[in-house]
Amino acid sequence: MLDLQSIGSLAWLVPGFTAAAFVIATAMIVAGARARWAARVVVLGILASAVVSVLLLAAAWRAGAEELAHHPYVTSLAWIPMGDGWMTVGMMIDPLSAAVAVMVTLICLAIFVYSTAYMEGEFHAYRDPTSGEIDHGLGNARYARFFAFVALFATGMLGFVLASNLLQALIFWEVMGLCSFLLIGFWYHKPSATAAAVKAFITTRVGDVFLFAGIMALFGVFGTVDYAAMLSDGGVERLAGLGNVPGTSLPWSGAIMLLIFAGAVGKSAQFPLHVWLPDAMEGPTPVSALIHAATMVSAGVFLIARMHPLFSATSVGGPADPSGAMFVVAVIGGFTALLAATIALAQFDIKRVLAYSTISQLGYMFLALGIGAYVAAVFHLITHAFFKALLFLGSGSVIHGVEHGAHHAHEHPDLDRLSGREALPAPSPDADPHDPQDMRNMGNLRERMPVTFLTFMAGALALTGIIPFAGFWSKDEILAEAFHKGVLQGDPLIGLLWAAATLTAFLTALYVARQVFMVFYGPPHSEGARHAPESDVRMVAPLVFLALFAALLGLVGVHESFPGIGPLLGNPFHHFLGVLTATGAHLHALPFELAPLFISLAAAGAGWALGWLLYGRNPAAARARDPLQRLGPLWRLLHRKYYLDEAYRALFVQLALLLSRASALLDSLVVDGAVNASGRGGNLLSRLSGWVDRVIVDGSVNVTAMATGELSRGLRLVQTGRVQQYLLIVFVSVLFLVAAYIL
Amino acid sequence: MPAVPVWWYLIVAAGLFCIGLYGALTRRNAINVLMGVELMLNGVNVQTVALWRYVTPAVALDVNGATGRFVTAVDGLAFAMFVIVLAAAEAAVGLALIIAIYRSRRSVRMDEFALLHG
Repeated sequence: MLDLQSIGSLAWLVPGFTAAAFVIATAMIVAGARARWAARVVVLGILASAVVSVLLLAAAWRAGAEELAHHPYVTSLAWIPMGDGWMTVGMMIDPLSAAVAVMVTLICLAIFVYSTAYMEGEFHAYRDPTSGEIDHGLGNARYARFFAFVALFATGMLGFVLASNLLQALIFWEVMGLCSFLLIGFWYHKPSATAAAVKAFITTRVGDVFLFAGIMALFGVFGTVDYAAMLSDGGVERLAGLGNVPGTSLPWSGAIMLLIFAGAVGKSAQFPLHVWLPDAMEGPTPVSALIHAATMVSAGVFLIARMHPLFSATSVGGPADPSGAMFVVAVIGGFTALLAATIALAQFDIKRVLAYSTISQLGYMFLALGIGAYVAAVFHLITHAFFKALLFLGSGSVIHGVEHGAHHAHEHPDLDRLSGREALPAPSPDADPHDPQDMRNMGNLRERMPVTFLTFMAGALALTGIIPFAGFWSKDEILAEAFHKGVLQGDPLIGLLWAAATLTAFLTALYVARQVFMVFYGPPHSEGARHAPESDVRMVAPLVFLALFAALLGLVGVHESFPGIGPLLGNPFHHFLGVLTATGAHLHALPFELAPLFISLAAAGAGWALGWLLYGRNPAAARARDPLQRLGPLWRLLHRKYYLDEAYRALFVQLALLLSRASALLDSLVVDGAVNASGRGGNLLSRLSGWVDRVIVDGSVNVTAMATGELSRGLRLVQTGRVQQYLLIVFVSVLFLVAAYIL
Repeated sequence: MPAVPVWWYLIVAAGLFCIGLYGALTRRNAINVLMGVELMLNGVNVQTVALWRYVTPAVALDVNGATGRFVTAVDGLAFAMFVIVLAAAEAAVGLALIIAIYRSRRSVRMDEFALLHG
């Protein structure tokens, strides 16, 4: 029954169900059907996809990693006729795609269910501009539109994960980019949302151009972009044997893989293309959870993981060989992890903190891939997707609660007086007291929203890597591998990266603690926080669902030598993913080390402790004035995100504007000028030729006619019709002639 | 040579011509005009014949020169004969025209025939 050969072709259904849901939901919008039904169709679609992908994972598990790695299951259709064969479109099932597809469908399912409650505000959000009545028709259509978009997004993500070749992956990758654009700008009546959507689209497009160039280069090398062909031993050897780019010491292989990596940098928001992700928080929170935390942004990591054998081929001297592409991946990842974690320390928007945290954690994954910790990277990708989606949904629940609390307080202004409660603490001087996302306006939500608090804590502990939550196992595996390669094997570059990653772990704990204490502890800081209700069960249930994964998922990847539970659990994740697709190379787990485990736990513990010292002891004071503000200029630097947005604006946006202005000037002066001048010249010439025509040509004709007329007017006097006069004229004429002759 | 000098003839011829011309130019009656024309022609004839007689006497040599015979040149006479024949023809045509005009217009007055004026 669960034989991959017999049910493998069901893989088409995984993106197929969501695609069908998208089509049906779109048709329902057009037909004006009730939006709740469209939402149900979409949830049903992703549920079906989830069931199929779980079945496929089970089948893949039964087939065994070894077998599957050597013969990945591919079901394909001919797509584009090529010179000697066909380019195919297909579904490939190997351990990586099967595992990630299950992760994606489960998270999508949780988030879609959550969205059915979260997006209900749409029903009441739109008023008819003329009558001022609530426009239920528009709200209905926009609620349904949200689900149509996320269904299309899920199709893109699943199609990307299961794609059997790079070109097909790129197409679905762009579908995701489109959906990201549409969903960030979902509330397009907000100028900030449209600006963020455009920024995200353009910034990721910078990476996509490089990615496309890389795919074309790979096609040039292999004559195909099928994963199975490219990632085989022959393919790896072919790429490694390409030689250097003429005139440089950069090997072709490294250059091509760096192009691919540039695409991942854009999609996964790594430095220097990370600036779009925090702004993308303008979208609805489920979108932030789905696209900008769990799935789409990890597509870049997935792509690099997928191309891992080729990346290995570029780094002949091991991962730390600075001429190889892997080294670049590791350095970018490590740098981004640290950079984003420091920025996260100084943000007040609850979602922006999580956005920078996402960038930071994605940096971890790239760091892991760069040092060759393939399994650890994929493991962290999957656990991170669960706990970061959980954190985002938790923050969405918080925002929702605060908004509702504010409405409630607005409708019952004398509530506080009647209940005899104390006044609110003094507001923070530079916080907008009505911003439901500003952490300075929160507090005490632990009591108001207990389930949200508990689930958020599960996510927070997972993110900070506290044992035994999922994030601990995956992050520890990355740190252990970096420690092993950097410190034990004495590679100073990787050692430096390990230090950066450990420092990041400390900072992560610090900003998460800051967030937790600001949001959930202390007295409420606004009416919204004071009256925030616990969210609807449709929002809470997905939180609990994801919290279970955030708490327990790590157990599938516990190191086999881990004291106590290690041998018991047997690290199935590593056994499943530790064999590379197509090449069949085994990635052996490194020997278990206690030192990095304790160091990372100590770092996280120190972060939490410092967080408690700064924010936990007196959350109200910390909300009024952030203790880190004592850092002065450094705080401002972090708060303004190292002025990178400003720098980009000054550098690229202004440059582009300058260029466009210059080209507009060129256009109006030179091109328009030339057109106008030739027009004017033509006008002048035709005037001249008209004058010549009128005066000279017409003139000569007229003069001739006039002269003839005048002459004939004179001559007709002579023609009297009287013969005798004619005779007289003849006579006189003869006399004249004779006289002339004689004289 | 005859005793009468040639210019007498020429005066007679010129007089005839002038009388004829005057008649042709001044007469209203088409018949009279025709008669004037005849006079002019005959004036020319007189002059032609007179000049033939005086200016080109019949002393032209035989073309062979060997026989020594005199040959009388008759070109002046031939001209005169042509003019007489021409005048006869002209008179016939002219009279016919006049009759035709008269039939249609019931008049032979020259000053009434100016249909072809410009």
